[in-house]
Amino acid sequence: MSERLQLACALLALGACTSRASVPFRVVALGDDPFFAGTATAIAVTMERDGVREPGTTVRFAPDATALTLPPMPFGNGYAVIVETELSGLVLARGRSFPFDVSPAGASHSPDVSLGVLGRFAPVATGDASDPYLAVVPSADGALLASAAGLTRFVAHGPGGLPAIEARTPWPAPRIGGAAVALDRHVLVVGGAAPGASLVDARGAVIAEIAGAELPIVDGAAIASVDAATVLVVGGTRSDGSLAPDVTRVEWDGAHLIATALAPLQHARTAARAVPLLARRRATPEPRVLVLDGRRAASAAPDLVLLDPSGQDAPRSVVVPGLAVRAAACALDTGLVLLAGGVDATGAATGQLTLLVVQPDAAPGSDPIAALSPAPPPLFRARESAGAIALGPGLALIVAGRDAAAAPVAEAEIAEIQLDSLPGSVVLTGTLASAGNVTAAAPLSDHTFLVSSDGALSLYFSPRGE
Amino acid sequence: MLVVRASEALAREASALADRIVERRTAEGVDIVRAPAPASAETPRGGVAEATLRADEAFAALALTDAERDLDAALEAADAEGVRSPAEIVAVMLLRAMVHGAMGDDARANEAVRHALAIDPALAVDPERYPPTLAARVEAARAAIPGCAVTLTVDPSDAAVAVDGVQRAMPPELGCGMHWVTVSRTGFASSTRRVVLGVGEGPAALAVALAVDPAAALAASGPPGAPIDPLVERGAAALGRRLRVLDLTREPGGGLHAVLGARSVRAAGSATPDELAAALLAPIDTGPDTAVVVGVGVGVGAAVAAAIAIGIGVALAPSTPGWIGVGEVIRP
Repeated sequence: MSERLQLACALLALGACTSRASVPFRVVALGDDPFFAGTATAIAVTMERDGVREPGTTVRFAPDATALTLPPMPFGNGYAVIVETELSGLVLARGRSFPFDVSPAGASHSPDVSLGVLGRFAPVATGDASDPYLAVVPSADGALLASAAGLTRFVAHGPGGLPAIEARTPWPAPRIGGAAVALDRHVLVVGGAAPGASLVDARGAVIAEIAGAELPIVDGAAIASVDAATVLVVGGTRSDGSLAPDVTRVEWDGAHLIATALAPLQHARTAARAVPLLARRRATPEPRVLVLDGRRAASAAPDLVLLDPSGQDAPRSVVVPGLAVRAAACALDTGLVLLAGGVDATGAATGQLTLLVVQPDAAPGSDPIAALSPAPPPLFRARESAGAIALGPGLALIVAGRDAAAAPVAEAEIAEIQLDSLPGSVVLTGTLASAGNVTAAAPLSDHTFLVSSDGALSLYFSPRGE
Repeated sequence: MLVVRASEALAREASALADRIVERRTAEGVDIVRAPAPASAETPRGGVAEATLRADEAFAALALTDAERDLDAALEAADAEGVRSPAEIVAVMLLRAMVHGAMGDDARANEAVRHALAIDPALAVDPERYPPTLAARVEAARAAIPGCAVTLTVDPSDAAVAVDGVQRAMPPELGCGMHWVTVSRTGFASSTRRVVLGVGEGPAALAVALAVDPAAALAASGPPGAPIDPLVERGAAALGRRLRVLDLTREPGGGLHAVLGARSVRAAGSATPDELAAALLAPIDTGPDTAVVVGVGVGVGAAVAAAIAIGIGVALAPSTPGWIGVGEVIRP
């Protein structure tokens, strides 16, 4: 090469360095070996932007590659890096960075990727079973974890690239022991040592409060997130030990918490569960909250209660024959709720799946909630008090719980409901390293699912819904 | 960057002049390479049709997994090449519906039918080609085809937009489902994006900014004497070069006239390209990092797509601002 050419190349290389920002990232293998002991045939990396894979950006590397250099991309927002390991074209493992922006000043944060085998759990942290996490609030780089004692920050990629748990920030004294729920990137803590509620930010600082007179609950309230800025607080136990029939809508306008009392339940109850869903009413999806289980003052047949967060419709109590109690529940689609497992009328743990169709404007004389028949096939493992996590339309992950002998169940199963032909199918998928009660779970922004089981944390890599 | 412009009648002379310039620079020890051809219609296409044909054959042989894989390849080809017509991608979706239906996966079969109807709401299933079960599936899905909105922003703003292979006015109105949006403009590399519009969701936002295709931009440099289109400047900038234009014309007396900036070189009509190149290069130092591009004008304002693009050294070193991800794999 001539000297002039060498000079030209050097100048060009220098130009490339100055015009292209280098964005380093780490691909961290979690859980089961995502490279399958060297049998994977390729590592494929694709750029995603605004949730859409960018055509022509897929680059394949040797399965033993340690360095991945991606094609040049323009500055912009809403990027994500997708990493997959392939075996003859089949995707075996996948990971995705949290969304990030890149400007000439650099990336908003390092687009690190957690890579895991699809359909498997990767244990990421042990925990304190005596103080399990009660709520998972997704954040830009992980999640906030709320327990009865305080707030803990989960970072998907710590200094070494691996998941990390930061020190817990205790709740203020009146909120110790309270129930927690996500509210607009913050955590709303209801009750605890005193009635009322507090909104706590990511640093654990109280940024707004509701007085005890407006929300006289200390324990046992069922809470559901209606939307990013609204939650519904249902029932619970008051300071004097009495059960409350109260239904309170709590809204956050960015500066204040606004509590609005809605029409009360027919029967006061505590320790119920609340499942948010969209129901189709007058051809338009509208939010509703389904209340299940709970302890009531008077003995009565187990019922379901349908609540309208807007307060326009009064609470509707419906008794669905043959329904199990302590079933896992989640919304699968508009007007469709899945109940999985539970305890049947004989007191035994069951594996039955029930599809509830929720139609608030059902014909006069008809119940707004009905169980679909025929039901989907049952779970492989009968279980009660399991967790149900919506993976996507028609898809739910059923995880943990306890079997007929009250032993923890580690196996997870996916219930897949064909939304246009109903009912569906069930497949086994992965095993929790730490079996027990699932106390909280939520999808993170990197498309993994963070599952808390008796205080331990696992990431689930869904094989469906991609 | 040197762009040589000439009329169509002087195409042979211009090409020969380019050859001589290349030979001379090579003799001076400068490494000259040709830049790639413009990414235009000459780019081979047909991956969608080929993959669909393979899938069709695999399906006929009841090799369902192979058929599914080939259909995935067809969709990937559509992502890479764009879609030439709605029928092309509708055929993929209908075959996909048959494959998934045969695999007992009704949900995905119906999803494929919905995507086909999103592209062609008036879809008529050919009974000669498709089974009655598929026709029934299509009719069942046709009952409600909701509309979805997409907020599409393109740069440059006068770029042409095609949806599923059909030119569309802005903003395009689409059925809910899968679509391929292709944005193109002369001088830019076309971009195809797959977008999936969901029922009940708000307008999907899609922003497409086209990148300059340097060779195509320079090929549009126009005839001798025409003003330089800013796009040509951008093409040169994309190659990291300062633009210089050499206009080659025929004198009324038959001689050749080459104009390079303020310098003008005239040669007799009998002058060989070698002599003209010598006359041009002797007094003009094009510098070590000069690239030479010859565009031969056709009619008014356009150059042939097969313009010869020649770069010196690493002519295609990118200078477009942006970023490069550099990953490190941390294994168990």
